Amino acid sequence: MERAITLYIFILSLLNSATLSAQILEPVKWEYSWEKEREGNIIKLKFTANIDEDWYIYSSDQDPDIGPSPMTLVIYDGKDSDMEFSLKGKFVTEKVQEKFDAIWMGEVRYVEGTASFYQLIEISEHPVQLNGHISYQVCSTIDGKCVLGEEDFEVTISE
Amino acid sequence: MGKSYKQIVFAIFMLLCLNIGLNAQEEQKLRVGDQAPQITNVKWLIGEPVTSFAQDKTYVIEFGYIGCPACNIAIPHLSKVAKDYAEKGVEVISIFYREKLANMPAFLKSKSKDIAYKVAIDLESKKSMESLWLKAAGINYAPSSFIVDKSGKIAWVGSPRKGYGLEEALDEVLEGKYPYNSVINRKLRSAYNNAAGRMKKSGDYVSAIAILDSAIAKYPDYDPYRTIKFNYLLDFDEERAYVYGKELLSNHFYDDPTVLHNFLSNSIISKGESQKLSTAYWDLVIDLNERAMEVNEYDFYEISMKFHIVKANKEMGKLKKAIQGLENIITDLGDMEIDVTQKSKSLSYFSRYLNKLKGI
Repeated sequence: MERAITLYIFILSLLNSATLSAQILEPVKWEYSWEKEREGNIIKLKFTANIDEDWYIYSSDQDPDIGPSPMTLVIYDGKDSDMEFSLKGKFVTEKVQEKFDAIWMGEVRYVEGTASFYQLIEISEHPVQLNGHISYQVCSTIDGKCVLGEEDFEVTISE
Repeated sequence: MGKSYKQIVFAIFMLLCLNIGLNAQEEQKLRVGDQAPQITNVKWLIGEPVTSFAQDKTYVIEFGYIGCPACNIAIPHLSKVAKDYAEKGVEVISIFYREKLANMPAFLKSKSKDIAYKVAIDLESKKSMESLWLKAAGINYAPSSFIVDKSGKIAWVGSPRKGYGLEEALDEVLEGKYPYNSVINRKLRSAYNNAAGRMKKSGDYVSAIAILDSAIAKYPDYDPYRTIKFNYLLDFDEERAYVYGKELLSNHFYDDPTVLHNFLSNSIISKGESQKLSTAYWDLVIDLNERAMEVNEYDFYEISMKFHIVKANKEMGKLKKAIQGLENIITDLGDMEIDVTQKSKSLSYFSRYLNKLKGI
């Protein structure tokens, strides 16, 4: 049994040698979309993180002074003026879990599995193109290593 | 003779395979065997600046940031390496990157007892340490570390944590050898990890556990296998998980407060958030943290350990005990000499939790 497993592992490591030596980790896949809210000219810009098993992402309401980096959203100003859109409320993380973490002696806020984030935006002129990026920190529950990532986005909001 | 010959053939074969993998990555500019980049555009925070690599010295250069759990967990181990290898001319340097300079003083003060090596912060200019070293080597995670040998060349890249082969690699590099044992072992270790993960994903827990058991037999010093096994058991065989947790507490991790608290106890508490666990588990949480407190050297860790016990008591319906425990934590915290903002944030967190326990 022992030998069989070692052999299996060995063959697997050979087959996998290319991926094993790759140092770039991508434990999260992003999707983004938008939808109209019921009232006014408000839209909901949504980001969904599909996070690998045994990893988690820090929420947008993580206190940045504790240690880990919160999920953040940056939208660049419009081309002609900054009157084309305005942000309504905070950048929200849904279904946040929290715990007190001994490492930084503070509260950490995070999501495992599929994480959903949204920002409400009032649009004053259609169509408008929204460009920006999100930045995030994901860490492994198994060994505590982390990836700081950034993802650009571009959406055109039409009436 | 036959055996060592076989080992060499095996090693060469492995290295060839690993090389194919490395060559497949076109973007990677910095490789083992290359001249190490300089340490530049940094501000030194602990120790004399290192402006160039000395000919008679070997360097361990670690990269990390405050917000990464494993970077913090690696600190005591890096200090041990710095002390154990000082006589052999090894110097340990930690580079903080993607970090605000303003965050460093309070952090270094809180770790002043732990850090026994040089520390600098990456100033994130165009030629940042992150781009010269990490991005060039195709690494996007933390922590990671490089060994720079006496000729100023990169001899090894890997994790700075205990059990991940840093000492094994240092021993080989100091003998003037390519650290192939360390490299092969690392690849095999992660192959075991991947294989177990794949089995677990497919729902074949029995094979996943069998793979982890042979991995533990092969790499007894590599701690993550045991914590992974404990986590897998928690998912599919509560009874075995409990027995295994007890066994780890009384044997392998008996003197390791970090694993007892941050990994084992934490796993149970996280699990308990999403499903009801039996009383035996909460008893185990209490045992893990009581032992962790006996061997723990830091006041602030003790607060967190006591807090896990509070949570366990709450889950077992011992509300009075939980409230009393939390009140003691608040008193202890009030007396502690830590950063004022940190203290007030922690106090407000625990006060909110206390109100929740009291039903306010």
